Amino acid sequence: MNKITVTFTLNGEPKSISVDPNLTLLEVVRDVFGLTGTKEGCGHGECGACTVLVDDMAVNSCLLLVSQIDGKNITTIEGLSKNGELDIIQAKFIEEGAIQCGYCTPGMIMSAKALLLKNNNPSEQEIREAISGNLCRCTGYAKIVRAIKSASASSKDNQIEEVI
Amino acid sequence: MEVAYYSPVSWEEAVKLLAEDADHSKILAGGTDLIIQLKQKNVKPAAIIDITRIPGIRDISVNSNEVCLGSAVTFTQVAEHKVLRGKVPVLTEAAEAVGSPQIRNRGTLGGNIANASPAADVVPALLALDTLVWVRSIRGERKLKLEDVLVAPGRTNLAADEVITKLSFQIPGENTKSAFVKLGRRNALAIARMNLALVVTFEAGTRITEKVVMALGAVGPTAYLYRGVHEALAGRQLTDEAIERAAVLTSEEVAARLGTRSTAHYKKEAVKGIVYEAFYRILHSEYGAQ
Repeated sequence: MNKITVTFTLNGEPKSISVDPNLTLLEVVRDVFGLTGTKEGCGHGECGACTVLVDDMAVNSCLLLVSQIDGKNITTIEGLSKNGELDIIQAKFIEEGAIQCGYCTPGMIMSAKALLLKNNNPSEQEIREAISGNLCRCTGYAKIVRAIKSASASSKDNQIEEVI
Repeated sequence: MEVAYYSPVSWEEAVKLLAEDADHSKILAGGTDLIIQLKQKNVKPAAIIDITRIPGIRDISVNSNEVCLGSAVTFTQVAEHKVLRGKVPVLTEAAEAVGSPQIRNRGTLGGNIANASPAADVVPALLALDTLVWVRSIRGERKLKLEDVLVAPGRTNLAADEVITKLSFQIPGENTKSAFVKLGRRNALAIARMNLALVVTFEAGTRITEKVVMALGAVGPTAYLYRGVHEALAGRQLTDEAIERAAVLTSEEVAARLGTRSTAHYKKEAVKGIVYEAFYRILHSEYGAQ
């Protein structure tokens, strides 16, 4: 079998792997690196359960081939918490009860992360559009939207604005 | 089967690689269509040529009269481009309608054309803007009108060894307004059941329509330009009655196109709604060519 060598960063750490070029990023994340937080919900880009960040942009990892990640920064759900401390989005999902079965949650949080990296004070409409590529069969989305809004309001910049 | 992967850094390199085994090679840009086809084994290429590292392929350039887009410009790039939104909202709205944020971050304009789905979202907008498609092969470069590129579902007029390099169109003149409407089964992650791009040029300072360009998608094997509304409305005031007339004409056109297909009953009625929506947006939009 021919192999392809790709070099990239994964959750802040430099990596270089030599693998079957037919692998998708989803397979690399789960099967090569054992990071099983990212889920395969449909395998063809229609559910968002496999959402990761590539250079801070949300993508369906089931629709990227490993050859396409050379030189890129990949962030998975495992990369959000730092030194055992949850990212604010993760904390708010728990606080607001925005998780039921949990299957959509990693992808949903990654889409939320991508939004908040670009827009730290999104409207409800902007939040709904940002997660429009992530299907949730359990919650009806209301608490998810609330959690993301709450996470954005909790950022330091917004707290200062509220005080003023 | 062993698939060879290439990532050329110039068009010369890309077309040479493509020519080596054109019938068994596939171009990779965003991959949101190709990778699904690979997984479903609908295509089994011997070579995959990733063109995204070619300089300029993701460039958007807007000058006083022309827009030029690299073929790997993503839907997100178009959606976020403020100047494009101001000048050609029809294209911005079409790009925003595609798939989901994740798909828009990867999918490309060139791919939307080359994949040739009858329901492709940016194709009607590009058609209504009279877009030129630039293609290259080892035999040289040529440009075609987009309407000449589209042939049938999944098929373009491009040779196997040709690749789309860029798209260009003239910026609509002053007094032109445009809009795009998509009808899907849900608000996101939906394939268009019908889509419509409308570019209306008014006589300066009036509501008299000089020109109406309408492109319809997902009601035939390819998106296409429907000229009947222009013929009925040109030189006339854009009143409610005129819009009603446009809706009826478009409905008759859709009925004729779809014939005895089971979707005809639904689409010929539903298209009226999207015609109303498109004209409403044009009359109330703050955007248009400056």
